[in-house]
Amino acid sequence: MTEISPHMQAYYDRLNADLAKAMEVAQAARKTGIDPETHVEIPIANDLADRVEAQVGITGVATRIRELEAEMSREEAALHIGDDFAAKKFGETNKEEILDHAIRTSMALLTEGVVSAPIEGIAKVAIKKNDDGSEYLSIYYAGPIRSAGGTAQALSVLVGDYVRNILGISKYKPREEEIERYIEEIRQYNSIMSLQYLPSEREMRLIISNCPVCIDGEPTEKEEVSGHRNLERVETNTVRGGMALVIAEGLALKAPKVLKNVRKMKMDGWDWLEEMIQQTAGSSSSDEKEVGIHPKDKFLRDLIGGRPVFSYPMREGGFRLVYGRSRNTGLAAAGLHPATLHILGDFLAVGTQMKIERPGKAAGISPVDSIQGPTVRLINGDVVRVRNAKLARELQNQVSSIIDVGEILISYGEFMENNHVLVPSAYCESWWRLEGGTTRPVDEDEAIAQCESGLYLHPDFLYLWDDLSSSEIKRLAEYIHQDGAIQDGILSFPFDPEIKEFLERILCEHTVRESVIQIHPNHIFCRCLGLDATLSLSSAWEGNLPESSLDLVQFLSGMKMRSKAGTRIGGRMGRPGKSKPREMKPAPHVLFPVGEAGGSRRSVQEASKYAYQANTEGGSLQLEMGVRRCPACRTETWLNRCSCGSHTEPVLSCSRCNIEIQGTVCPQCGMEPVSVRQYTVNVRQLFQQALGNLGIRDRDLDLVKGVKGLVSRNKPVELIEKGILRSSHNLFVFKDGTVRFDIIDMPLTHFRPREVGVSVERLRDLGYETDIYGVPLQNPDQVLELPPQDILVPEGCGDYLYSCACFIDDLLSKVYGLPPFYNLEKRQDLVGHLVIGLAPHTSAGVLARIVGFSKANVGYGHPFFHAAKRRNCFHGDTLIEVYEEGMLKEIPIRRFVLEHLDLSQAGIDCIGTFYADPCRLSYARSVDTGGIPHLRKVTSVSVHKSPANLIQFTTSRGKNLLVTPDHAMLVWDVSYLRKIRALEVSIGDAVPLWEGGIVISDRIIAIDYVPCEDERVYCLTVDTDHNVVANGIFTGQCDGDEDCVMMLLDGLMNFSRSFLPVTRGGSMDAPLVLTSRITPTEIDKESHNLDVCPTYPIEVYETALRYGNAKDVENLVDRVERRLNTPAQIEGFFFTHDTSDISGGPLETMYTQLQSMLDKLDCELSLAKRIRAVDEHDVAERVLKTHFIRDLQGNLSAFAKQKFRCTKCNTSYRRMPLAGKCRCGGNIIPTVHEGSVKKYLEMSKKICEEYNISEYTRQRIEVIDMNIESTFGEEKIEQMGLADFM
Amino acid sequence: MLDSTMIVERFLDTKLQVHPDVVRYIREQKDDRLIDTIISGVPDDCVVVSLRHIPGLLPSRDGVRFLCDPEVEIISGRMGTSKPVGRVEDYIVYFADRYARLSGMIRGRCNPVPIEALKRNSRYKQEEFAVCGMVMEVRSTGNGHRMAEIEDSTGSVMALFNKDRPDFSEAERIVPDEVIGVRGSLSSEGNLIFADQIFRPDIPFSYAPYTSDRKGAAVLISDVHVGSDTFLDDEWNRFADWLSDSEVSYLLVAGDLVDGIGIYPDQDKELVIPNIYEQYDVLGTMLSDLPSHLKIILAPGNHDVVRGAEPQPVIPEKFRKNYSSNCLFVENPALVNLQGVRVLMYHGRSFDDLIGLMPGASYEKAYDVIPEMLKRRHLAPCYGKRTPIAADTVDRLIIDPIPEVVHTGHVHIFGISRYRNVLGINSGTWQSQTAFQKQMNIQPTPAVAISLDLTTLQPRVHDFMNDSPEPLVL
Repeated sequence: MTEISPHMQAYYDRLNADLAKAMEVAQAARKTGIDPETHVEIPIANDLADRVEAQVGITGVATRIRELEAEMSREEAALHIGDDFAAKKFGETNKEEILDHAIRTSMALLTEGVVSAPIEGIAKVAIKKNDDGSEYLSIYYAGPIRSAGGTAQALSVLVGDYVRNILGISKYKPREEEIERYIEEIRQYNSIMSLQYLPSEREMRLIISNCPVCIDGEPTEKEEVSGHRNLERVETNTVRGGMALVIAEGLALKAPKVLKNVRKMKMDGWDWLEEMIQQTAGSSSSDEKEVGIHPKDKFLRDLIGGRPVFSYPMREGGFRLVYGRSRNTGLAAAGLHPATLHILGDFLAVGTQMKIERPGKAAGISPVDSIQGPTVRLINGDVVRVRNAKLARELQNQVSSIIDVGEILISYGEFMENNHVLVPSAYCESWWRLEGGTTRPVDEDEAIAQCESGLYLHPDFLYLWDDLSSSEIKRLAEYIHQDGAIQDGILSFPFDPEIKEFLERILCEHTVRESVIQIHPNHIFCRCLGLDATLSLSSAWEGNLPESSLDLVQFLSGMKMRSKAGTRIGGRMGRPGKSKPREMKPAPHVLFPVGEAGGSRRSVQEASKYAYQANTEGGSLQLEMGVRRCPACRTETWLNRCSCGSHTEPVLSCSRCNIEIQGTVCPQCGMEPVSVRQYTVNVRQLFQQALGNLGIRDRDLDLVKGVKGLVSRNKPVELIEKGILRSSHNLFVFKDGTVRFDIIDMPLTHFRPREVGVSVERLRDLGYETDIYGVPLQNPDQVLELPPQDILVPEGCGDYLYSCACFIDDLLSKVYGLPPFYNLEKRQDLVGHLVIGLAPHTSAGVLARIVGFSKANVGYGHPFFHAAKRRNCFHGDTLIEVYEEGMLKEIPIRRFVLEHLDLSQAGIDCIGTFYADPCRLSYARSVDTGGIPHLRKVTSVSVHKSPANLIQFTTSRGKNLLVTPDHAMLVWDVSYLRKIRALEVSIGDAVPLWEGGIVISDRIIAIDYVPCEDERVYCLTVDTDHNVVANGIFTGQCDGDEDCVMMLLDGLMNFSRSFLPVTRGGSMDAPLVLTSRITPTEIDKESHNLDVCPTYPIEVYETALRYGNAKDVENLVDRVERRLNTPAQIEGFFFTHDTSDISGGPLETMYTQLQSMLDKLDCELSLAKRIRAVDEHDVAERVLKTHFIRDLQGNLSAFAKQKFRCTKCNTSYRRMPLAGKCRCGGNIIPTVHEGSVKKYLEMSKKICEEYNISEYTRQRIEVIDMNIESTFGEEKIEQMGLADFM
Repeated sequence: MLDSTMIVERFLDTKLQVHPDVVRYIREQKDDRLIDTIISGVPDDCVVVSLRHIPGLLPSRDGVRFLCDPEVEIISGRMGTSKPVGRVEDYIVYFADRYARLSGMIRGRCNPVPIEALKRNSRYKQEEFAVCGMVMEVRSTGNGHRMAEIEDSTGSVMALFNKDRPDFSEAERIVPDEVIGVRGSLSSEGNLIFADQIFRPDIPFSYAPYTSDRKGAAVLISDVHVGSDTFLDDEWNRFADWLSDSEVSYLLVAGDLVDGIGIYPDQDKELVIPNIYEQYDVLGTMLSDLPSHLKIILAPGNHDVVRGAEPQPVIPEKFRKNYSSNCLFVENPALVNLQGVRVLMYHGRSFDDLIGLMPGASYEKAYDVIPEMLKRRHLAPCYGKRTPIAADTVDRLIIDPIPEVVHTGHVHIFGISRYRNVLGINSGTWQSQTAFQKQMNIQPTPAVAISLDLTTLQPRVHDFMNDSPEPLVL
């Protein structure tokens, strides 16, 4: 364990103590037997190496990984581990196995052992023959490779190549028809699944013809290719999704990162990547020798109506780059001045995504007011720099043109993360200070004086001279010399449109009064133009003048200046964020089935009135629910608690063989057993009884909504009481039984008490003793450092969670008969309580503590907190559960291995590993990445030489596991299991447990290194999932930026795995494990690029001036990566730019405030007209082409291929049935309506009239209009606009 | 029960081979005495028994044709036939019409019972019966059998086609929304038909084509794609010169007259004429250079300016300004009568669907799909896939009456097939391989025209790719 400061230790102790308290309550509640299980179903999870080993199931790997990681980066380790495999150190027998193990292991390592990719993502590897007879390596990717993310996907190919090289296998030489097949297939996959990035044909050709490893795949889609079929070396005609992902989202999209690793590893044969990057980067971003960058318009592709463009790529007036990190930026979040946010039509609110030109693709927006705001021209002609948000709001309606949208704050780490060259920064105060500046000059004269003492001119007094040409500067100087006059310190001269444009372009503030332009102050301005106090041209104008404009003004003024323009970055609005309660559609209050009887609203009340036959008593429903049995009185029921008071257990049976089954497969037919029966349930009676129990009157209650049917395997139900209570607190339930609130993630490392609405006293109670400078906390304006697991939730979320806490208290007191836990009186009381944070498509929750509320509708949390939710995992060893000769039994692995080791054919490898196929057929319990347990065949057993030390894990439920440090452990990510190496598992990691016949999760509470007494360690290989229950512990795995929070106790009490749907991905988004403590070394590496220094070194700016690589100054910038494994890795962070309010600027984006597309589009186009850096005609054309025409054409074509549905039961029909009625008797209606086809037609025609749209696009609209008319007939009534359909 | 294998064996016993159509005829008649009757009537020198050996089955023509004036008559697909879709009910009417007309063609041969009756009347559990319905869904079962859900207006039922039955290849070719008759027996639960035999609307065994008694020839082309950067200018000019020298009276173009605009993403990069009006004007000029006695019949395709949903209307007036009076614009599909020979022109969008659904079908042999259309008596049997279909009160895609020739295009690969005396001609293209085709590995056969002698219905292939063929002389 890494050392930790006493302060942080106290912080963690406190979190753990609170967690333990909640756990105790939840356990007491669960004991009552009301829920499907009598224990808490979220296990609490901890080091990566073991997770990896557990995941790949190769014993000994973890130790080796630890050794390697001590010496090199994870990526390098991932490649170098291949050396060991090539040397057959882990018992590999043949080349295929070496390759298989090496690739899987490094994939597991790269994905932090949490995603399913290493196991399920790679189907197999094969060695095949080139046409010249040489061998080549073929890797078969499968669908789940998606979860690995592009970088790991691409690197897996690199690993394959690395090991291939060692083994002396030749390169893959594709045949021409194979290349064409790839191209066709990837495009087809794109049309089916829509790739993040579809490489151009040239890119694909380049990749396939040069990639030394054959990227093959398992068929993943239903569709077959129509062109290049039945190729000799491509086994399938079906589309191979895994292959497409690796090529498109891996190699093509992540080429720069791959190149980075190729260079690091000095690998040959990947030079073509450079060619690719150049192609991708547009024209010719680098010939390595050529310095500089070129505009990239990729972010403008697929422009959607209503999401405005703020700046075209590298265009004057666009965002000017400033390096730095504010306390609320970094990690894919950039800062803009709050005034910019207002001036740009309030489209960007805190947390809104902006697609940017560079360095990455997108950035969340945070308000930072220590950078420059926009400069605008008002209707009266005045040019004003908007210095604060208040002024911005006042001026909003008077702006005629946005000349400059202001600066954008992007951290160095972002450039590092994206492997982008550093580009020149706009001159800013931090840079000025590095060059000797100390105090900001108060006025022009002081600034001039500073310059005369040898400093550069302070950025606040700089004009954007480099945007003018030398001759234009000359023209300006001459004009002012001739027509200007200075009176009372104000420079004034007659209005001239050309001169005014020059002034606007250099962002010189001025006013226009009665056709006279006035500039004040003007000393620096005049001096830069080479004009003296009397406006005469100085002697500097005579003689040789420098060519470049910036040099010219420096020469004329005699002052040192740097470019204020720097590099402009293009940007447009991305996806608007949303923070809101998680609701399924329709949103239920309780997981209780009501079938069709509940009507379309699935109302429990309505169901209780439903009578399927006249004159029968209402409320009796036929419902499909799980069969459970009471262990005490053997009664079979669907209730979780038998009428005798005991907790019931599900009864599984095989639907085919009709026999009851213990375990997960039918021993007779191999089918998975189910536990379902039709019950006749009197819902009315149940409902009335529940109301009685709760003491709630029917009329006080709104609708209580159930679900149509249960989708889980064993179909357990929730108590109706829970639904009634949720309904009375206006809460909705998610599919796993929890109440959640979705929030947008924004990073925050420091906050001020004033911003979070919490008193200084309360914060002191929570452990915030001093501010970042070590001054005791007293004042609400002091800056406090946010510990990794403290979060701020939006106020709306606070209200929702407050309701949830009240609901839990009601639940405890009225249903479970326990004392209430939270006892909150108001929202503010939530502060200090624990929640579970969960990222989408993951299965590990992260423990967090609420320390305040943000006015902006985003969840502010520590970057580590956000990163930790992305990945996270576990590990296993000793008592294994096997199914053999009809019996499931738990036996020690040693006995199992020795009994099954077929000595007659055992092999031994160079490092002393015995391995063999098992001599008897047996199955071991394993779990798939979705957390569904399976019995899998044991394919081999092995005995290994033991390493010097083993790692012992202890979980909170008392499970112990002793494994080699390289062992792969499964750990829970939010809803997947992923594999990591045992040594990467850390305390608090959630591992999947096998307990009582289900998979649950538990936390590792202790990790000890123990010396190994035994000479041997044992392992077995399990088919398909490559994991096994050892001492009751299994393993697991995903990413995203939007996540949700739920109250800790809600998760512990109400969550049940058994509610989760059986479908693949059913366990996604469920908190299958809870990480109680974040360890920076184990979270997404992205967060390691977070820079934590108070200032950048001057080298950053200097490197940027020469377009040097971000990596060149890597060691000069204080980033998390450099602090890893020291106490400073989690505290003592700084930031370069402060901001006065983390909730500054608009709180809600205009995009969501505007209702109709018409309004949004109007706003977008009028904004485009106003912004100098945006071409509104091009915006209009792009919107037409990429959004409206696509929509019109798509819907028109869909109209003539449409499906139909029943209005009553919602059954979908591929075509109209001949009967013309649904089977249920309901009416059948079309799914595509005339209105939805036409919705953008009028708007498109209007755009064509108003904007300069190309003839081609105009004609397309005309043709579509014609076709719509010939499909629907001539307009009878007045054309309905989009507004009529919204 | 008469089994195909058994019938074949019976003939083989007498050292005779038998044409599959004869087997099908005997099965449909359900009369095994017929076998002996046929065998006894077969001449001694005959090796293969074909339809003409069946006593009483004489080729017949479907009515009288008036062969006086107009030389060209548009039987269906005249301008203004296709209508806009009015209401949802149109879809009910549309499929009802398809079912009524196609099932009418089957009904006489298998005496179907309403599907609902299977549930109501227990006698169907004991005896063999037939139903006739439209396929709602078809799939393969885990064991490789085919399972189809067929429905009529009274209800729907599943039918299982056993893969070990001799006729399984027919069952494999069942596509959604075609109308079939199924003879078989009911499962004990009464919810599944074990199918024994499939009936399709098909071309009658006795169908005999018309031939013109006056001399005359038509040239069939399609997919001109004017405006595309891959349009073959020189080849077209050679073709135009050849036409002037040849004794040809009719030129039929089955769709994709121009390359169009916005048909696929970034099409503008592959257009030399990015203006849709100009594309049609250029084609007009090209056609006016052809001899004026030539009757030119122009149908639209998916690249043309009209709506994609079939039936596609004729090219609107405003694009036809530059066309001489010998150009006739028709809809897609259209049935035209050339001196008594009926040619069904259809662009062929449904190839995209059918090729994917038929085992063994390929773009290279799209012409082999035309017989499949004829068997189903429908140009685009599958609804909701790639072929958009506009609902109308009558199904204009049904092949009725039976034409002498079916003329299609779309796939850019020419080919000729014949099915029960109906000639299927897929004409090639005047566009070289496009980027899309390259990517799809489709090798087009551009610059080929197929001429048709109207007196003999003999097609001839003329290739203009490298030089001019001999002029056509009748």
